[in-house]
Amino acid sequence: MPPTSQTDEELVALATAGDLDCFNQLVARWERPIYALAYRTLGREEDARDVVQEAFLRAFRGLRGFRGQAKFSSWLYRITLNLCRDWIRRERRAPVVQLPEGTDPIEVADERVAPAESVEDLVARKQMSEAVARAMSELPEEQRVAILLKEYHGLTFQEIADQLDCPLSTVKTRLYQGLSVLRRRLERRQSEEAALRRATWESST
Amino acid sequence: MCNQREKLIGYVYDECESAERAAVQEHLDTCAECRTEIAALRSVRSDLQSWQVPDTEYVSVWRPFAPVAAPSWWQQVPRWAMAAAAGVVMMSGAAGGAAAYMVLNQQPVQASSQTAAVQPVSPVTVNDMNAVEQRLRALVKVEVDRLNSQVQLASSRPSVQMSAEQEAAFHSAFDRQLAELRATTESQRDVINGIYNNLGQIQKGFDTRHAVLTTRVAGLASVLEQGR
Repeated sequence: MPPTSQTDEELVALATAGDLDCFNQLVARWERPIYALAYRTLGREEDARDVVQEAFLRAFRGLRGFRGQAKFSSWLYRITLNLCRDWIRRERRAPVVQLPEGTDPIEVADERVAPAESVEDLVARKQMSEAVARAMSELPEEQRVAILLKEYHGLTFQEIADQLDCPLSTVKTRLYQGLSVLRRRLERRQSEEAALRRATWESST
Repeated sequence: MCNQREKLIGYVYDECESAERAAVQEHLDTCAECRTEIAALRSVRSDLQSWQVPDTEYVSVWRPFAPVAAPSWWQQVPRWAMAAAAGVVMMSGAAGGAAAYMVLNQQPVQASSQTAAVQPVSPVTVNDMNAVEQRLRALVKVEVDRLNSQVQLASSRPSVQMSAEQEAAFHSAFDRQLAELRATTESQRDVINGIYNNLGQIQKGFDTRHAVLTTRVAGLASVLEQGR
């Protein structure tokens, strides 16, 4: 599908008027960000994909009710977050951390995310990614969602407040508290790893 | 800790007014604790960026809608014209249906000045209703087929783009057809009015019978009550 220069809102208007291909273009434009949000909220690829599909189906069904009172992306984020919330409540469990089986340096290097990065750096980044995922999954939902929307989707404080139906100051507090907790957990993990490395080195000498 | 959480967060995310930013900056020059706090917040933000979504083999979950074919010229006819045409079809169909109803019942049209005396009315059976439906369907089909053939004829024009003269001719022909259909409908209006009068009398007859029966039932109930 060729990229289009039309805005989301223009595509919504055309889709509402019956041009279904415009909705396809909206999906193509927003599917990855919505998947990323669902994945980071739920922690499972399969569930995230289900949520993405349901989110776009709901968006399509509700397109005529979308009056442009918010950005299309904000509306889509809200639908997705509601679906994730429903999923977590239905499953009655916290988001999971999907840990890959071991960390194979060759496999990691194959990702070629940053060519200048050494294999050691890539391994360290992968381990950090897992640690962040685990620490995030342990945060209270309201702090986790605020951080997700801010760090990975670039929403403003006000946009997050609108998404979560809370005052602006609450958003800042949640961000501050969430980041502080994450920092403590990540620092503890780093000190534990350093101690393990030291013990391994001492036992080998 | 200086109790400046909100301000520090706004500063870290660069989402604050310039005056507030300057104030935080000034505070940081003198407060080592807040400088450490800012550094820690930035560090954890940097760590957060390492969290990757496994989407290297992501395949879309969306099955795209099939592209819609470009609309033919008659779909571009103004909505008012389509609506008017539809209205005319409905009206002539209804008129025809009403005529069919009359033919079926073989009853003369009652003059509107006639009194509301109770006429013996034969009950309408399921077979009667089915017959009326068949007649109505046949009439509507004839009308729809006629209009369809006109639409097909017009659709077979070589080009969608009409010149001003062609467009004027098309509108003129359309208006003429509309006028003819209106005239047909007008001529059938009297027939429809007659049907309505008949229905009104049937309704009144029913109401009268209903009132009589209600009185009788009340009388019988009274007699029964006295007999006890």
